[in-house]
Amino acid sequence: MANKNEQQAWDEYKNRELKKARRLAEHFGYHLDEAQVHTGGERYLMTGIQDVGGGGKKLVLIGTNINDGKKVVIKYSSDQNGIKEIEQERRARETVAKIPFSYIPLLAPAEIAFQKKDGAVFFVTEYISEKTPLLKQPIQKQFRIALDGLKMQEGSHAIAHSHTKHIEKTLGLLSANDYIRSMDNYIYEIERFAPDNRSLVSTLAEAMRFFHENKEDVDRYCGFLTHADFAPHNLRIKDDHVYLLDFASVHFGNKYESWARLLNYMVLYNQEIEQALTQYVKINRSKEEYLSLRLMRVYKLVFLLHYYVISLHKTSGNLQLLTRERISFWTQVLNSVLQEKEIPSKKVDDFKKRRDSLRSSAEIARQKELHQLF
Amino acid sequence: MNIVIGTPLYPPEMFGPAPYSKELARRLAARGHEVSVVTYGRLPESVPGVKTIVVSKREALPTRIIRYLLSLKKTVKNDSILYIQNGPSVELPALIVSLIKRKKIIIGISDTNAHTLAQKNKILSIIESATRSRTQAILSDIPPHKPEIFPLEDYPKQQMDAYETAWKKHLAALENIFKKYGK
Repeated sequence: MANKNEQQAWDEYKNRELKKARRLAEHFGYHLDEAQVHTGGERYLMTGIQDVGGGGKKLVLIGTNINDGKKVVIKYSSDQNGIKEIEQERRARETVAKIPFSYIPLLAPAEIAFQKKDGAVFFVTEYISEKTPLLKQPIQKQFRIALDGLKMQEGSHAIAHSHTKHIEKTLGLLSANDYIRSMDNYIYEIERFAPDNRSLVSTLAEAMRFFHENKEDVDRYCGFLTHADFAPHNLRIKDDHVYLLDFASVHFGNKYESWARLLNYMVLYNQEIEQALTQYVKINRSKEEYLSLRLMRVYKLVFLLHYYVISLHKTSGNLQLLTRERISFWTQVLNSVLQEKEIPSKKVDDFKKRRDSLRSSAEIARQKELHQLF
Repeated sequence: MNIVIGTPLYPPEMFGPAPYSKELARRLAARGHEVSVVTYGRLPESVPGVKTIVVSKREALPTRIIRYLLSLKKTVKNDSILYIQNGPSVELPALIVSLIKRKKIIIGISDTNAHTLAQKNKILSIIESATRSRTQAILSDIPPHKPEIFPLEDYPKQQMDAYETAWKKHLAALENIFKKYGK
């Protein structure tokens, strides 16, 4: 079975590398937690997909600094691509910390150590513990925190020649044409992997048309710092300030890319926040900005559908059923965004029930740790 | 009246004089004035009835200042009122245009950071004072940013009323200056 092969390969890699990582951690003065939930569940599906976590093989581990007993996050890899990604993330963190044209500083967990030994890279950052995670905060506070995190990114806009020179090589600078090229590739692959899914194929054609027709409104808001995976698992709240995690996902592009990611996420986890943030843009910002937000939601939904469609062949059993359900659900969400309609909450609830019944226990544990939901 | 607004920043920029310049252009156009905005940027947001002339920021500093100067010179007609927002990248071209066209300038201090910076830098300070020697009026009482409406909270009626009052007062002061312009 394809699923067994992919998962088995990941499990073998993970167990082998975890042993090496533990040895290295002790050498550098850290102790790794026994359970490493970030490496389990559906994590294996992300390996090899460049746009999800970079595609290289790496482990995100939780440990403790033996000297001071403080919890730390460790990114470890001995794979060439994985090492490159960790190094790139570190460069991105350094560049973002020194952006000279930023109006609002970006907060991130402090770097504790960056070490290389025995062909592996070991990158340690502070673990920011939260008293109350975002999704457990009162609804108004959730909204304000999310908005602060989004505005924090909008404070950096690379528009002058000197700005682009400063960030282009390390962080990248996406234009509307770059987004269109990516979308073209996603759609091409989706059609190759799922040619019989007529409703998906026709929705994608409409999505592409919508994007092409409004290309200028994508470009208008490009050049801003944006986090491609701006969702609660990449945020930490400390003293009411938002700290960003995963700088591998930070680049310069359309400022609504991070909004779009969060809004699409909130369709599942808090529809009230999704609607409130949409409404916020509609009533406080220009009509061009509201359109740009819809365009980027479309882009991120096509990206998500691509991820599930190309993951389908790696799955079997309940996970395959769940992947099919996901494709169907997100196609409906994409249609709703294109038609500027809200997705009925009953549809969301029905999907969530089905999803929860099909998820493996390892994935439930990974989600629990990622989103601190329970 | 024919009004030319010179500003270093304009939406999609979000800081400094950008939101003020757009709101001002919108309100002046709604009052029947012929409004043009000369700004740096790329793809400015549109306002019905407002003509926006954009100078790319992607070029080296001297080139873009010359381009701005040429755009401003072309936009300012004999009957135009030239109202600029402070900042050396606009003050310098506006100063030159004011000398060529023999026109006075009205300055709005909507970017306090640029003013602070000018006080610390000799060249910027010279540009600022030279521009001020050509002014008809300086306005430092700029309306605040529009209060935000948060969907899950009460409508900020009090702040919104204060915002509208500030704009009414500001427009009255501006139109008064416009009437006396050039006299």
